[in-house]
Amino acid sequence: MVKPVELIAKARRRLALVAAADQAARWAVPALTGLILGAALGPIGAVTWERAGYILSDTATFTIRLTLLAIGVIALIIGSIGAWQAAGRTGFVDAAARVDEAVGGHEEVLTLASLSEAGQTDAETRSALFPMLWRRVTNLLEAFDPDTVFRLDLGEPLRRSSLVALPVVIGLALATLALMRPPTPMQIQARKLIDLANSLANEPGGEDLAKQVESVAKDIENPDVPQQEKMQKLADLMNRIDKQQQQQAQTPPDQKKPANGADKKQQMASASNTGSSNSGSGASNGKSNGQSNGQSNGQSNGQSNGSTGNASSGKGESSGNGQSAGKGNGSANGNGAGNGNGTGNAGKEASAGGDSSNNNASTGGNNASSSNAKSAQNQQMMELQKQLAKAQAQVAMEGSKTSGPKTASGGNGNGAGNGPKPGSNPNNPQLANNQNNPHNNKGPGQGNKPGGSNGNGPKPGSGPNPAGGNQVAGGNQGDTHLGEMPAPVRFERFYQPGQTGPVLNIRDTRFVLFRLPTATPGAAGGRLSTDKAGVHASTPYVNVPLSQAHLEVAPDEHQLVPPRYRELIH
Amino acid sequence: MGAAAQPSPDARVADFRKTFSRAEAEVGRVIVGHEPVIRKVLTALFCGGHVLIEGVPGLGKTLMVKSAADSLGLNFKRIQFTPDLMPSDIIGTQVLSETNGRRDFNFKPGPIFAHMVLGDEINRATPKTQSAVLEAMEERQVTVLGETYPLEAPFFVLATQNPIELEGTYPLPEAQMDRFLFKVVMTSPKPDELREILKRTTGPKPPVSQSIFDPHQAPRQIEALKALVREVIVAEPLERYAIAIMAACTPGSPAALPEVSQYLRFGPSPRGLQAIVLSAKVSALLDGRVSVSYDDVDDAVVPALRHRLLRNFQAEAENVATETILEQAMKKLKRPRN
Repeated sequence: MVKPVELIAKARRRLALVAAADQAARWAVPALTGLILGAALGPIGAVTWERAGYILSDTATFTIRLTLLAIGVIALIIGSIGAWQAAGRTGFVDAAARVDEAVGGHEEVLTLASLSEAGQTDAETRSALFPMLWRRVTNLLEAFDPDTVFRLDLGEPLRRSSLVALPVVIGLALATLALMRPPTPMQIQARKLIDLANSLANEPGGEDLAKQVESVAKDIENPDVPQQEKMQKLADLMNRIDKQQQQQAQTPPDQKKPANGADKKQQMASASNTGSSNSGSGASNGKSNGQSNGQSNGQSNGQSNGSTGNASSGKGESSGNGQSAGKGNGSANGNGAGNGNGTGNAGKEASAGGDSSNNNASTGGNNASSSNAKSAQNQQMMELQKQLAKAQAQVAMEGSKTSGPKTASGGNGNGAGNGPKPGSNPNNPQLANNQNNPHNNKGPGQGNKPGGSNGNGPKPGSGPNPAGGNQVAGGNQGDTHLGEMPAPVRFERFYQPGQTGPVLNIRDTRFVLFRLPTATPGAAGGRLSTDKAGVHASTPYVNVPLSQAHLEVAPDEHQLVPPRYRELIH
Repeated sequence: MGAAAQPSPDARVADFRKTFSRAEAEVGRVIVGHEPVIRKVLTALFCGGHVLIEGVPGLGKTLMVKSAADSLGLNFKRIQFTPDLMPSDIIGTQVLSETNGRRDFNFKPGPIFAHMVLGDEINRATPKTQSAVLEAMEERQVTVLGETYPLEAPFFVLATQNPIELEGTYPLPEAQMDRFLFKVVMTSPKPDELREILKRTTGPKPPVSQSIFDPHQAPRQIEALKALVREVIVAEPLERYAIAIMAACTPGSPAALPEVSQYLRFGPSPRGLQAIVLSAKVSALLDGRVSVSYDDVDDAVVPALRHRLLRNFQAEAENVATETILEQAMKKLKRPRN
């Protein structure tokens, strides 16, 4: 037996549920979009960096994340309130009207519901025709089931909700585009360190180091972290890596991982490399021990003159059984431990190019060693050291930019003052004054003159600088070891066809590989072509590509290209 | 022996439907076409209201009313309104008569004393005469020389007015127009209907309506059916809907629609609302229901309100009919949430 009033009440509950779900679904997509995008903004920023080469600053990320989360929470609140209100709005008579629509009742169910709600169903107050109305409504509702008639269909509200969410996504995209910035060199360096940290984290036992690397990377990226703290953290990390490498080096050879037979030639070439660094007038003496297995003999002499009173000269020697001789880089750090790497000839294998495995000063030394076979972990460590060195350079350079005027103000016209002294990092005046800093051992000629008012000024004995003869006084000569490159001053870098510049007497530095196109259209519409005979230009004013004859072997390292040149290289 | 058992609601509703349908059919035997007009006339009869029929001469207005009276077994009188028609000509007068040598004033009822009265071309009579009729329509009684004479139920007046030849006429004042439950408009018959009219009226045996009631029982039975109409249930949302329609058609009302404010001077009176609801109730019964629906209300709006709206100068200048205004308003009005 159908009970119309109870059935209408059941329909009302069902309709309230459907209305609440419908209302909630209308705001569900914007809410979820906001919350999910807000939570996933970090990965989005990472993708932006990886794919587009742009980064979102922490401030921008925070702002966007806050906005997205606020949108999500607001949408959630609106949806909840809307659902609550929609459920409350579904009254008994309204439900009866919906039932009428569903069963084709011509407002008979509505009439019965309104009479029931008004309490007019008593025999005394009701119409004489009420029993007939009741019977008709009962017949109408015989086959009526609210759950099947009033289905919970969320498709349409979700579609509409998606339309509402679309502006959120578009807004995020526009905000991301608007707030994306090309990364600063420091940020690039930090990202590289983070990448390395991620790869290190996958290695067994490298989790702690990876965490430290990541922490340091975030610190150096953070402009709020003081310069000295950054340098200190970098130095600590370097020390840790050095110690780790020394421990590995002291491990007996038989405990080392056996080399692959296919790389025997390379193993032969990796001679034991023993380097020593002697501090000149400083109090620190350092030794750097390397190993090269094979039959190569090499010498590595490293000299570094550090800061006054604490200067250290590094001298590395590499001895082996081979017949290799070459130049290498000796290095020394403030701890007196130096690593010498070099290139030499092992058997018939010739290697060219040097690699300074240490971070700071390495000028004027000769190294001779070869080590082409490295385990993957060693390569990672070396890469890490390399990147850390670059990071130090970046930090130092940044410090020089920010605090340069302070240094200059300390000088006077007579050259007396508090300027950087030989052996100190010219790009970091603060550190230059800290003569006990173990990482600022510079070779002669790298530092500024005593009392010099500008840390970037001409250096004594800077002959190896290829553009030294044409440098404009006061120009930014830079330091390739610190990731800087000489500024392209006026015309000196551009020669007419056939004209050769001064001999490039670059010594003891990392190579830069510039791969220029073989044919370059000149600015005036001419063409430049290269063949075996040489370079021919149809217009006189084009740059001459570097000859590749001297680059038989790819250098071990591609030097960090200064930011201002990056857009020029494709 | 107790009172006669009250018929069940279903039986009463079925009887109403049957009676109405038979009356429609009987009138339809004589009148060709005009089914909506016939239905509205019969609806007004069962609502207890009166109808103003507007149409050009010769459309069968008089015949239709006579046929309706015949089919329902009611007596019928026709009054041709003219400018010199006096109220006494309608309601009756005291006549000096002599009986056995004694002279007395006796009341001689006028043609208003009938169940169904047709006031033909009511707009040709003077306002004084019109008022006499309209008072009888409303009060269902007449007073002559201080003596009141009730009109026998059912009392049903159908007035006709000619929309053309308005010269020398006295258009009904709005207050008097308001007393008609409906105003229905008869339009010219279609060609097929004309052919059927020819067939029926020019043949050897013109059709005649047959009474569906015993003439002696007809008034009582009709009154019982009228009582049934009033028992039909109207839900509160539908009452509110009808009220909303009234408010929307009332210029100056906060709920008035723009076209109403633009074209109307005055809106409908509460009688209009009563007319809508009563008409809707009859529609519900005819559909076999005992409760009113939104469709019933919508169906009653135009005939119940068209003569209660007073157009302004702009509407007359632009020849905007009240029906047009009402239809536009109905389109814009939304029913309460179903």
